[in-house]
Amino acid sequence: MSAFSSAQTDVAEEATLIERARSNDYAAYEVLYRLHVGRVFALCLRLLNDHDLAEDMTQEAFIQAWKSLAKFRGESAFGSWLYRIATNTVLSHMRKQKPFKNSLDADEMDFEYRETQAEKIGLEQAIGKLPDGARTVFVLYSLEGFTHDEISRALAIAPGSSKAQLHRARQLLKAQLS
Amino acid sequence: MSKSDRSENLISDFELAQLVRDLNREKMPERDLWAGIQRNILDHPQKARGHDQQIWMPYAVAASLLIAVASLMLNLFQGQPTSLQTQTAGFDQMQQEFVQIRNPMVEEFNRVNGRLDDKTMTVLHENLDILAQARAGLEQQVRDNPENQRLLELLLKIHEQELELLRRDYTRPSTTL
Repeated sequence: MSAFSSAQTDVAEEATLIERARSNDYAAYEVLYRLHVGRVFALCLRLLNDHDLAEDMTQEAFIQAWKSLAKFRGESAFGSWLYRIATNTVLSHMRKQKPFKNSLDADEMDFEYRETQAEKIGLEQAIGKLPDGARTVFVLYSLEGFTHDEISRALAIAPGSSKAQLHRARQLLKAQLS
Repeated sequence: MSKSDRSENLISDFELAQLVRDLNREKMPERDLWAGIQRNILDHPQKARGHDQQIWMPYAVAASLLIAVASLMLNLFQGQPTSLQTQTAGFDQMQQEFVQIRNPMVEEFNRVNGRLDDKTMTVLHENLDILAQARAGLEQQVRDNPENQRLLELLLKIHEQELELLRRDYTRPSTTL
């Protein structure tokens, strides 16, 4: 955890920073960046499983947030609003790269299961080893609090597929962590 | 290993949930990303608070009108007549100067803000219209009472306010709107 993110910045102070940023106070926006970059980067990294790309997407998310700052009405916490922007930035990138994979291939699951039996790993690594579809749904649902309906809209898949991917992710994670 | 053997050895849902709960939600990137972000956002400055302007502008105009009406009432009771010819000439000159300054500013306003959305442009024009109406009312009062020096001074002040508004807030690019 960074020194910035561990600092106890209350809501009022953050609101002041946002107001200052809206007045083109770049130093204020840098403070907001330092406060939230850890969480945004972790989200990007878990969704993408690619360190360099996650850094690029983190940058892009903060740039998008800056461009949309006027639209932030304070109805939700700034962090929540920012993480949604980061999520959308990553998902938009993923959609451009390849169609979202919906298949639940049993052979793939067996292969992954056998692969992971050789070593016991931590949850972080286990998430990184999940297939793209399962990992994306797991991160959005279990770590970011999306509902299946929200995931289905974000990924353009059926809610049932989202549930199936989550089940698959959990089974794979349990296997890797056991 | 059979599927049943596997499921017996797996950690439970509860244990997995606990691991998820304990997972560190923050990770720091290896490089400092701020420099790249700053470079980019410098090219995209925040637009001025159009929404807030829409909120305070009617109040500002209302306050100006209130001052104008109060001053007008004061003048009706306390105005001192001066030379009619001098006042008429002063009024005509003032009007001429005002129009010469204002019209190019309005043209500039339309040119600079042409890209704004229709709703914002409507609000801006409504505010300009309110000011113009206030000014027109005062000009009529001056015509009806050409000897009243205080009315002329008040009209001059309204002119200055309108020009200042056009100059400061309305003829800059969208960053001020």
